[in-house]
Amino acid sequence: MFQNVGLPYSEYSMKEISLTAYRACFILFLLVDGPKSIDEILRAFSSDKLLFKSCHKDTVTISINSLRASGFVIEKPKPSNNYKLKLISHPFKFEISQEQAELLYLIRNSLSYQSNYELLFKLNKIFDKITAIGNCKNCIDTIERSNYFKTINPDILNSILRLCKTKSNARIIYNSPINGVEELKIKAQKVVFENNRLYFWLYSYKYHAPAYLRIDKITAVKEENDIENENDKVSLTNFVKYELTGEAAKKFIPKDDEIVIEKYTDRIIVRANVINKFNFFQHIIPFSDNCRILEPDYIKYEFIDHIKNIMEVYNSAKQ
Amino acid sequence: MPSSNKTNSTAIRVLEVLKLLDTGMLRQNDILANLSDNNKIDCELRKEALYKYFNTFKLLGINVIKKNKILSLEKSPITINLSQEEIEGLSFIMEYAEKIFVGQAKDEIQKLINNICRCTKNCTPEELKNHLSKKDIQNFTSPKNYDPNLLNQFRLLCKERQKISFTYINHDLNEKQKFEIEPDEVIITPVGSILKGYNPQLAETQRFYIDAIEDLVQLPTMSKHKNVKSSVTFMLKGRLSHSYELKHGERLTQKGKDYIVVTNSEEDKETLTRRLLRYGKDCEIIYPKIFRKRVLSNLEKILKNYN
Repeated sequence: MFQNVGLPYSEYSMKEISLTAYRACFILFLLVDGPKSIDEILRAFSSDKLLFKSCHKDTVTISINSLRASGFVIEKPKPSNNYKLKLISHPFKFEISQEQAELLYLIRNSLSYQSNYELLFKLNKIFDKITAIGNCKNCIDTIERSNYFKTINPDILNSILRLCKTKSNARIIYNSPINGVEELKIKAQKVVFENNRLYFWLYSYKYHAPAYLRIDKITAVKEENDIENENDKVSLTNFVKYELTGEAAKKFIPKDDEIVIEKYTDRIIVRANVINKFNFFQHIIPFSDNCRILEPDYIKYEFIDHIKNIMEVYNSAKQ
Repeated sequence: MPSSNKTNSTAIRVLEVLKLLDTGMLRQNDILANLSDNNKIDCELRKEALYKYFNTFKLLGINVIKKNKILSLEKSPITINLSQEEIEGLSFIMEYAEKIFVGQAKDEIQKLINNICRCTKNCTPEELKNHLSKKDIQNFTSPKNYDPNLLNQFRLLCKERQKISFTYINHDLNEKQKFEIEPDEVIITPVGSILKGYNPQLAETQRFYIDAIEDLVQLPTMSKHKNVKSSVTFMLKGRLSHSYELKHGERLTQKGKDYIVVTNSEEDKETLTRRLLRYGKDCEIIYPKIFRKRVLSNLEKILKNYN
């Protein structure tokens, strides 16, 4: 028979336990649960019956150092991990084999082609738990190769998703590659996952145009209902009909804003709701000559100009 | 000493005790002896202190048990609480693995899931199936023409790191072509499963739809995948030059005020060409010339559609 060692829960006194031991293990379990910032750890301390008195940053730092000295690998807070402490490996027995890590990589990588960011986000949470408890650094690196949301701040994403549900107005802070940090008044549209990145589709009141911004470049979101409603200006969509032939037609899977309206043995006709023309052109160029825009004419001609402009880059360099 | 370097000897002692208990093979005296030989521990540990730690562990929900004088932990100290969303995610992984894998791969994922469930307080492998979210299933596009045995075969070929030769059917051009490839990895996409491999003749990585591969033969030659790959150099201008993040296998070879030059030696050329075309007139392939020509002829073909 097993014999339980130690006092029953109700019978301990402070003399019979070690508060330092409690604190070190407490932090360890918090990190096993997922990456945490120092502030989050301090908040957890403040609501614990034994640790509420030791809410000090130095106390946390010393415990983290002690965990490191005992063989726990903990990543420092940095921009790529959203300034959180992350347990990379530990000396306990939970083992993930390289084979299992490669299978997990294959699963997540394959699912990223589904462009279903909600599913990927859900999976990422469980993958984060697995990598937090796994004790093989190489295996974790293998699994992390397919983590495309590493730099996304979940709080920002959740705010954006809330805004998109109600198509609300908001102010966002966007770290633009051209203009630097700028504040934008926007009307939220939708979130899409494309080319392994999450994008926020919106209408920018500042630039009077639809835009799609990388979510990892958005540093703050504030819902604001008092922004003047400019709904009449927010005419976002153009309906475009295009035809696909050959393998492109056979293998075609419509995106959220597309619908196959006609199907023939050798071709299909697709109707797309186009918010951003450049993005639409990006979408159809890889179909090469298997794709032809049917209508409207003005988008067709803009596309022809777009192609001619690219050709000019190559032709002018030749001369 | 600043707190950024300071450690706490009690914290280290207790973590070392936890590690020893996790082995599940030691008696009380073995643990004490082991600790006294441990150079991370700066003082002799007594039985009383050990029991004080056990009480502390118990407070945190980790019970120490004794069987035939051997001390061990009732559960792994690495216990995790899974949220409903995480349980749904794990359930999806199990269901997906069930569909796409066969044989050993399937067993490995099941073993991992069992292991994860052992570390959780609120989930067992048996219950997992009941937590599959209907929405996740509805929004999931099953891969076209998917054959788990075929995927398994190609996955093993990638692991064995031997060259393969095959005939590839190009449906668009209606032609068959012979290839000799060093297989690298398989990818399952909604439009079909893809083999990614290195072509030593062209010194580039290529992608092939697995269902268009015929007459497959494994050759007795080992893959030398680390061969020098031919690279593609391209220039990005304007806004893109500021926001571009280098991909795996890319390096920055030049940087100007409003342009950058990037060399890519990893991505298969067809996918790369398609990706670079998406960047529009802000991107220009500089080298090799054959890819510049390929891009131009591709663009000419697109234009012909509108003549």
